[in-house]
Amino acid sequence: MASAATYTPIATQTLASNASSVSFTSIPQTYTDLVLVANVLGYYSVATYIGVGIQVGNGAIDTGTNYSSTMLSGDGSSAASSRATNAVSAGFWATALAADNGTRNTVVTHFLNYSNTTTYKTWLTRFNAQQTTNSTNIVGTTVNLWRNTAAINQISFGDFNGTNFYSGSTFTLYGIASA
Amino acid sequence: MATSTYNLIASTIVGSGGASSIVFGSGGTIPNTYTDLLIKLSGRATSGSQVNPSMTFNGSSSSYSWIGLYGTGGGGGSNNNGSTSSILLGIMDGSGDTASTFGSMDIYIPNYNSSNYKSVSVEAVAEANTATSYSYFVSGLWSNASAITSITLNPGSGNFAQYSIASLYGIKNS
Repeated sequence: MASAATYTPIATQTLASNASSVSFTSIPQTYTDLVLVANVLGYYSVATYIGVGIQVGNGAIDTGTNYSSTMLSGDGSSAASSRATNAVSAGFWATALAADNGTRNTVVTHFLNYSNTTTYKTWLTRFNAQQTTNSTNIVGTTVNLWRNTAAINQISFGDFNGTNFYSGSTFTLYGIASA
Repeated sequence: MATSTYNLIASTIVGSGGASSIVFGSGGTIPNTYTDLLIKLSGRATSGSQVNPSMTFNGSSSSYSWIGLYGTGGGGGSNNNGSTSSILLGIMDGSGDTASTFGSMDIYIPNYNSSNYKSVSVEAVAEANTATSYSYFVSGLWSNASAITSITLNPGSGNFAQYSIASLYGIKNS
């Protein structure tokens, strides 16, 4: 007997022009978990990595100080860990360049049990921020908490410092059903 | 109703003679009908201990870089190579490690058909019930605009041992 489909694309967005954030709304509540795959490059006046983040919500994106996260990261020479509490987003790092040379980096986020209405929501993010030979690179992972029991039906992936992701950056949301 | 777009493209099980490499899409035959690629590898090398496997695309041996983040159970560290001939795939057990232990890893490659540089995200572990075992995250970049049509996995030391398994999946975004 064929198994039911359990890894299903919900929506995908490819930036046609530079944009500071991308949002997914009206996320169906019919899956168990969500996976967001991003392939992005940010803008900054010098080559570096910039702080970006994820916000979620139910009916509207929550921009309050309701997020916390713990990061484990490596910059190519040493490992580090840091925390953020009462933050306005669940942050991590993305590569930024002054001009688009074709570099794109991978960010994969797993949202667990996103549609329940009993527990605070958690998600795991794996991020790459790498720009060929430049020395300002970083790789890492974060564990994140949204202190709200509401089901997640909106997700925003943004550069909340006000700069942009380059056009051609892609964002795809998948649903995973446990049964 | 949307349907699953996470499909097995190919799978290799290493036989009794071992294998010097595992190749997907030999001759450039990985289909271009997916958005992303995912490789799942359960592997062991026929020599060495806690070895460092690697990966190349399209037979190319240039324009790769990577950053690693690892934990050993006794501490953490980070390493990198800004210009090299392959992408590090973290860690894998070798013949010098506990018998019957195999490293596990996921290798995610988004937008493998795009005209942008190719980014790779690797998660790998080699647990052997010894004083030092590794978990590894790797960010890899192939600074090449070509579509990926073949992938070669190298064991890092000796050959891939018998019972090593690598599977290539294709994921569509629509």
